[in-house]
Amino acid sequence: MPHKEPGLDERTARDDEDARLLAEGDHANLLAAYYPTILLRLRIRRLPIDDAEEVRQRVVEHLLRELQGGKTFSVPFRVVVHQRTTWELLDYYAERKRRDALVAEEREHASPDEFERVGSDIDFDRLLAELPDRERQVAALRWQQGLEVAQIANLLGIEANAVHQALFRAHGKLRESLG
Amino acid sequence: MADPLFDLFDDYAVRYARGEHPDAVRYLERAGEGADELADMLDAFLQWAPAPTADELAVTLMEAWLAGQPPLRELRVRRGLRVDEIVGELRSRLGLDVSRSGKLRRYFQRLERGSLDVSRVDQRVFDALAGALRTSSSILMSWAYPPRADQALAAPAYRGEREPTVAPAVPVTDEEGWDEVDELFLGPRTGA
Repeated sequence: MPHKEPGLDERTARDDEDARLLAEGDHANLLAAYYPTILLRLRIRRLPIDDAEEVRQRVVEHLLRELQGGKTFSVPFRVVVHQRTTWELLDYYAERKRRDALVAEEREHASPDEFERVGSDIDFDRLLAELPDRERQVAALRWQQGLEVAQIANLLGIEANAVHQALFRAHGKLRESLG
Repeated sequence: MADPLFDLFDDYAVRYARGEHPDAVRYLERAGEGADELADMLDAFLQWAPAPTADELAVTLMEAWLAGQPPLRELRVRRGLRVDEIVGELRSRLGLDVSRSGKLRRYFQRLERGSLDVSRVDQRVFDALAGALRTSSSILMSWAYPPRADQALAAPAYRGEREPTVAPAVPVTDEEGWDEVDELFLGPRTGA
């Protein structure tokens, strides 16, 4: 039995579950899993609650149409959800004239496979990929599984201080890449 | 090595990963001038973190929503409660006189159908309703927006440009006059 690295397979499990729900046509279960997170992302962007609900409805309706139309995706469903949310958010900004025309130009998704250029990784993956394995593992154990620093230290056989440093570096990378 | 943004991000991420529902907006408020930066970080985090598996209630409400049914009605039915029972609970929890029951019932039914502007409904109504329906007010508010009639989406048109989907803020009846029940469901009276 292959050794499983702790902390690095959480999203694979989610992707597998999504693939199963997609195959079974269980759209309610699939969309219900992402429903709260879509709103969270919109609220973080300071949309008023009724606007956020409006945008969320558009996201879900769009996804539903694609699912019911039998569309297949070249990326995991979580990426589809988050990218669709980002696009709807950009539409919202463009319509509210909160951003200039450049924002609208960013949103090029008219190709037959609009997810073709998106890729299956998101910013967070890319920046974590730049970290050494151990730091990436620490970040996943902390921010995907919610473990205490002491638990991570025990699990990986390292000092608590090393866990703190790894988290701090991962966070620093994130700030750097988003800045 | 103290970094308030790191602490806020780390705390939020850990709580989210543990299945809690930390209020992201509160975290942004605590970030002060770093709010925009924290917003970027939390947004990236939420796209990366695995979505929690939906519970049975969330799936049921989503099924209702997908079927074009108001989720709040589905929730009440699922809890085995009749409209009159809910209205009685609401009246009690909101401290309203029994003479207000009729108006309260009509407003509740409008809320349940999704024909009220949810943003104007007083938080106390959702808190009271949450108690009656044995759920949280945030879940109720989240599902108080019914599926729109125009599910065959045309071009996006957001609030301000689109046709109104809810009834205007008018009292349920003219005869009874404006009172505290109107205010609870329609917000403060304006332009009077």
